Amino acid sequence: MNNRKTTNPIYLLSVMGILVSMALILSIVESILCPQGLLPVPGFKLGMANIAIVVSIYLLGPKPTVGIVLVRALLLWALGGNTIGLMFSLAGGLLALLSMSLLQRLPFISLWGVSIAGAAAHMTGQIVVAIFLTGNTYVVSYLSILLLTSILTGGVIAFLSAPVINALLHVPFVNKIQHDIMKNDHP
Amino acid sequence: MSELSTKQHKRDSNKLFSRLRFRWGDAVVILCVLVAAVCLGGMYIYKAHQTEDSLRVLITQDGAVLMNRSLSSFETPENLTITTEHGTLTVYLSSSEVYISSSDCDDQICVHQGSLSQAGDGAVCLPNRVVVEIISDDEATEKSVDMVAR
Repeated sequence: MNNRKTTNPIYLLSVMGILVSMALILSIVESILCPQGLLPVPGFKLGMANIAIVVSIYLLGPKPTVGIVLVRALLLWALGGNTIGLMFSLAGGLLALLSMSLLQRLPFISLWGVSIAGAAAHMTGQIVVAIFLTGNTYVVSYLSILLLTSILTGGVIAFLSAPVINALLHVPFVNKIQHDIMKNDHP
Repeated sequence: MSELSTKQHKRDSNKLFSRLRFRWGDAVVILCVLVAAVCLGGMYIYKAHQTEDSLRVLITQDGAVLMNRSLSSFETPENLTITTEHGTLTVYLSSSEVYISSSDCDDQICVHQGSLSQAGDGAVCLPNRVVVEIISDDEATEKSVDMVAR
């Protein structure tokens, strides 16, 4: 099909590894910077790990990003041992990934819309898990506050991701991988 | 040859660079999220301002009802201590307000939730799986039907 020589998969794997470690480090940095319970809105998080997810959606496309989301959630669970946290981050992460990869295909939506939709979907996924855990629909009312904050956090994530995408595209082999993936996605 | 492919890369990346700038579709996304938030918030406020003549306090642990009592039945304030397999928490109950006064969970989100006095108010302690909420009387009958159905 593709007459051009595709990039060695090792390169893709290494970029995925870089993004997973970036997501992990950002989660840990965030938990140090703003510990839960000190904030005015409980459950409010910047979700800085989403920077890595957003970058991955744009550079590598949806498929490798599924791997990054899963590995990040599992590693965070292995490091922290928080099973409820694993359920929250899996539900939120996968729902965010789904909405982001769908919106990313639309030409009239940029990084900003994708990031905000991802943040909103992340909150929704977590609330669904909360309903499942407590067996109570009370938590739904809380979703409205979380959705409002997600516009803000999604915007911040987009603002922070743009320079990262920019910088990574200047790395020759990342640029090459991105080029190959784009070519396969839009032949 | 290699120079040519670098140029090609540059052109394709430029396509990606243009996707980093704000487009009109983003405003639509923001609007959708705002509308969803306002609808959910409106539902909550509507619920809270329903008839408040008879409020009840409902305390559940893991979905099982621990207490379902009318607020006006607390003539003198009471403290209820709930011990679960995950920890212990204390709920302060009076005729005008209810709050979780202490909990030995890590995050203390339920304690920070503060005083509950209107229908729809609630505090959730996820580590202990305890939910304390104020409901109006008609809601209480609906809830008990749900519990039976489950």
